[in-house]
Amino acid sequence: MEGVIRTRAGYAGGAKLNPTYHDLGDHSESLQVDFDPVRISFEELLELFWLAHDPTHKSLWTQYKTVLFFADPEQERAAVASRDRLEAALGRPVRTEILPLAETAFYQAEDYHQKYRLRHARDLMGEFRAMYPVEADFVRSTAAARINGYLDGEGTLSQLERELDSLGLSAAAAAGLREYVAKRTRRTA
Amino acid sequence: MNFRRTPAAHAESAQDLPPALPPVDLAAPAQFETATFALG
Repeated sequence: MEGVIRTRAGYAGGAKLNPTYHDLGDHSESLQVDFDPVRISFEELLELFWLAHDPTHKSLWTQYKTVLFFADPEQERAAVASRDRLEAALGRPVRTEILPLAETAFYQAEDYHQKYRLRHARDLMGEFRAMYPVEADFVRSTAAARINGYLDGEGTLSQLERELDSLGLSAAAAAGLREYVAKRTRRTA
Repeated sequence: MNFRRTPAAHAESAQDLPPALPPVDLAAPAQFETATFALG
């Protein structure tokens, strides 16, 4: 989506120090998004967050809880207002929790959880391996985050075409990605 | 805007690699905010 700069999968919401996927403790699987507020607002991200899960469902498992973490009072106000509007529209309680991130921390998940779709796209991944010899740089790459989103079903063909030249791909890889998104768009049209 | 880091693929030796860069894409805006979600 427009304005998303970086993404990272991780664990948050619990007290356990340095959780891992196999030793998660009381954390929940989480996603952190760096975004350019000039191009997408926190409120717009919240709208997408509500659409991305069933907010009336409460998970029995801490690992799979749905939580909206706020980083500051401004985010808290926006989160609560957004939740209240949704609740009024649904006429049912929203069971997604709203929690301060400050009381816990966000622990970045292991590398193999990052950019999951892109990691499994062999041709594209080969190019990213060459562009980013250091794994941490790949994980933090804006281009990787954006292509991973397209591969995961986000974004439109026209969005991709606007930024395709900026993603650092060879002509062949760019054409392949364009064809993939075009096919997906045709399927969902 | 170009999100790509300087490619190292054509470097002939470690000395040819670009110097250490901040671990973000250079074209990413300096000012950004962060949102955190658990999606179940």
